[in-house]
Parts: sequence; C-alpha cells; structure tokens
Amino acid sequence: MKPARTSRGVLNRNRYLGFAAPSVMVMFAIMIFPLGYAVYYSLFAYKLGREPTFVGLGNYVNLLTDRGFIGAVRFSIVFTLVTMIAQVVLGMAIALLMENVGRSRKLLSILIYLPYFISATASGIIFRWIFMSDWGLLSQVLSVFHISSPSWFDDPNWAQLAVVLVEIWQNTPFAVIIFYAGLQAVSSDQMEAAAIDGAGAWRRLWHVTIPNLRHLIILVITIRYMDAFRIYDRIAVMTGGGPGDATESVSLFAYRTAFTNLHLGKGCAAGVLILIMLAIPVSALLKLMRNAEAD
Amino acid sequence: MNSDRHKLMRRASLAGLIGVAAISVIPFYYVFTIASKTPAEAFSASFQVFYKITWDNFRQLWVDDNFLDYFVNSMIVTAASMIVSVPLATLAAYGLIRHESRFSNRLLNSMLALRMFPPMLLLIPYFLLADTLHLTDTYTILVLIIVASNQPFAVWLMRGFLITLPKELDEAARIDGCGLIKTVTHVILPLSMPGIGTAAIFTFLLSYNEYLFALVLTGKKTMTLTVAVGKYAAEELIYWCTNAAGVVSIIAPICVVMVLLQKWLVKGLTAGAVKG
Repeated sequence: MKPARTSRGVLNRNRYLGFAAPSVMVMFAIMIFPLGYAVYYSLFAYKLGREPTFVGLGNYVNLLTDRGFIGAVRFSIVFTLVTMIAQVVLGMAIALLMENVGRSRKLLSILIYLPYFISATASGIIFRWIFMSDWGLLSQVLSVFHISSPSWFDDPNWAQLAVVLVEIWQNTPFAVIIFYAGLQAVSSDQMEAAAIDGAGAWRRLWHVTIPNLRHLIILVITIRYMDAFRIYDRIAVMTGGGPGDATESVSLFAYRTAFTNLHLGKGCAAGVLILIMLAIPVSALLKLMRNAEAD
Repeated sequence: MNSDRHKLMRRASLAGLIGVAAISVIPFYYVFTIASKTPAEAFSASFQVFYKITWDNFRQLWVDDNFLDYFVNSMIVTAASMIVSVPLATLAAYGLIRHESRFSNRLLNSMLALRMFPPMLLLIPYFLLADTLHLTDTYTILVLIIVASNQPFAVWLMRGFLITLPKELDEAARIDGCGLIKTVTHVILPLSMPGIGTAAIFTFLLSYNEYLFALVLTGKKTMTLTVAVGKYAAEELIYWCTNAAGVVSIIAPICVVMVLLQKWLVKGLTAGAVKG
C-alpha cells in the first residue's frame, strides 16, 4: 500500500531534487550557456581582434559551399563508418574467443584492453613513429622481408588508412569489453537448448547470441559513432590533417578555421553543424536501442 | 571425439588472443625501446628485442627539462576534477533516482544528450569567455570544463550503481531516526563506495588524458602533460629518444591503474549497459 501523501511527504520528495541541483547548475552554466553563445556567434562574421558583424546564416552558407568543409565531412563519414564496422566485427570476434579460454583470460584481457585507456595523444605520437619512413617500426620490419614501406604520411590514401588503423587499434577494446560482458549474461539454458536441437556453432551465433546482444551492438555503434565523428586529438598529433587535407576531420577543420585562420564565427557555425550531424543519427540509434531493449 | 574438438577450439582461441594481445602491446614496447636507447642506437635500429637499457633520456626529461612541472599541473587538474566531479555526480544520481518523476527522468535523458556535444563546439565560447573573465592559463577554467563535461557520464555511471539500492533502505534508516542528510552520509554513501571508486577512476582517466581544452586554455603556468608531450613530439627528430621517454612517462601511470583496477574499469563501462 502506498503511504498517504502528506504535505511533509511532498516536501521531502522535492528535497531530493536539491541533491541534483549543483550538478545540473554546473552543466547548465558550463555546457548549455556556452552552446547558446556558440549559436549566437555563428551568426556573425567575427575575426579575432575585430568587431563582429551580423551576417545571419552567411557562415552556414559559406561552409556548405566550402570544398574544405565538404571534404572534411566526407572524410569524417567514411572514417566513422569504416572504423565502426571494423570495431563491431573484431570486438565480437575477440569477445567470442575470450569465452573459449580459461585461466589465461585475465592476463590476456589486461593486455588487450590497454590501448583503450591510454590518451589518444600518446597513441597518435607512437603511431606517427611506427608509420614514419626509414626509422619507423613498420618500415624496419618490412625491410627485413625486403619490402619497401610506402611513405605513409606523404600519400593521401596511405595516410587515411593509417589513421583508420590506429582508431581500430585503440578503440576496439571498448567493443570487446561490452560484448564480453553481454556474452556472460546470455543464458546458458538457451545455448544448451539450441545445442540439443542440433544447432551448430555458427547457427547458435546467428540465432541465439547475436539477437540477444542486439541492444549492446547498437550501444557500441552509438558510442563509437559519437567519438569517431568528432575525433580531434589523435589525428591532430599523428598527421595534423595532412598530407594537404586528406585526413582532416570535421573537428580539425573547425579548429583550423577558428584558431589558425581566426574566423571565430565560422568556426562556431562549423561546431553547430557538427552537433547536428551527431544528433540526428544518435537520436535515431537511441530510439532503436530502446526498442531492442523492450523486446 | 567431441572433447578433442573442444580442446582444439580452446588452443586455436588462445593462439588468436595471443596474437591480438601482441598487436595491442607491441606499440608500447616499441616506444619503450626508443626511450631507453641512446639516439645513435635508436636511429641505427629502432626495434630490437634485446639491447642495453639506458635511463639517460628519462633523467634528461625529469631532471634537466621541466617535465616535473607538467606532471604536477596534470596532477592538480586531475585531483581537483575528481574532488569536485564525483560528489556532484553521486548526489545528483541519488536525488534523481529517489525523486522518481517524469521530470527527473527527463533530466537524466537530457544529460545523455549533453554527452554528445562535440568539444569543438564549446571550445570557441570557452576561449572567448576565459579571455573575458581573465581565466586563461588558470587551473580553475580547465577544472570547471572537465567537471562539466564529465558530469553526464559520471551521473549515469552512479545511477547504474545506486539504482540497485532499494528504497526500503532509506525507509528503514528513517524509522531508525535518521534525517535525510544522515541517511545519505551513513547509509547510502558507504554502500555506494564501489560506484564512487569507479566514477573516480573514470574522472581520473578523462582529465589526465584530456588534450583539446588544455591545448587552447593552458599556457606557460598550467600546461598539462598531454599538451607538453604533444608539443615536444612535433619537434625535430633529434630529440626522438627524449620525446619517447615523455610518451612512456605519460602512459606508465595508466598501465599501473589498468593492472591494479581492471575489474573496476570494466565494471564502470558496463554498468547500466548490460543487464544481469
């Protein structure tokens, strides 16, 4: 039975909101308010050191006809899709392998998870050296087999491949962690029932495991989409967006616009467009996830 | 026969995982080999499994260069972020769970939306505001930004832990004569220590690894490790070995945390995501 609602009870319940107040205020002051500020300045031609002048949607029109921006959007989309798919497939494969091993799992999982937890700046620098021509690890290893290494950072395609590979190297462990935890939760009854029905390993994977993990697959896709699409630090230290603008992601473009060319208004507009490009797919994915969890 | 097949599967899986682990770890070992060689050796053959280790590059970095200052800066920012962020998130999660209303659910969901904000969008306002408020090159601005951007994740993480504490617990404490504050300090907080610890570790990782905001908002006085290492690495290759020592120094604490606290890191990532 529910206790009767006394005026004291109502008062008490609202006191709980007081607990949330400091956190909510911090988020409002430091995230929502600056967001408004950015949207406001995205409507101005504002070069650092000069007076801002109102241009309406001028910055947005400017960006959507800017080949640099369109190129950055195209690169970010391809980068995000390729790494996301690779991480889901590899993450699932590694998690399944982990289910099969016994005692050595603990040590191996520490080593396998490690890349995910180090700073993207550090991994960017390490791989800059690994892919470096002449002295880099890769060209040294390849020279043992008398293969000459491509000069990764001078060729647009090889440079793009390099940043994709490092993103996969660093963030696949996230998918492994989530999927492995999900595999523990798939009931062994269901698996046994399927096995008794004569389903082989592949059939069990397709018809029992993957459907059971559907909401986790969507979760991994959502998180990886957000992080990959807005990536800045690793690419900035690894290639700086180069050669030319071959590996320039949308965030690198916005940074260059605002802090190298000092067009703050246009930089804000680029930031707003990045948010929109994140928000639409992510809200669709979250809806999908809610549906997957419901059944 | 079936058990033979089983054994074979196990062996093949183990081999596969060892391969994956090697790919994960070789880059770390590689950068360590550069950091622990003389420049002449590093340039003649950068990758060898066995060689004579020298610690000169680390001495150069920590004693002669001002790497210690950057480390101290990083520690100040990280410690302050943890001290502010974790209590805020814990209280918020507790309050929103217990308030149990459409409003509190809506607040929680809008925090999810905040997680999506691209840092680049907020960077320009931060840069302008820091300038107006004379906060550029101070710890304050960086800590505030890290605390705010960490809140959505930390609140959801704490929610994952706190939601397992039944409401009857609060009621029992109330019957025993505890006020609301005392219920939180004496009953809820002790029981949510695992969650608080996990939130602390993740706040540590986020602020220790933060690069973009620190790059723009710190200066001579407050430059953090990531920014310093990023800056050094862009310099001439003559300092290759010293720079590698910098990278090793920045990664080493993370490796220690990983080995000691792996269980909590995994728990933190899966809390709320995986049921059961």
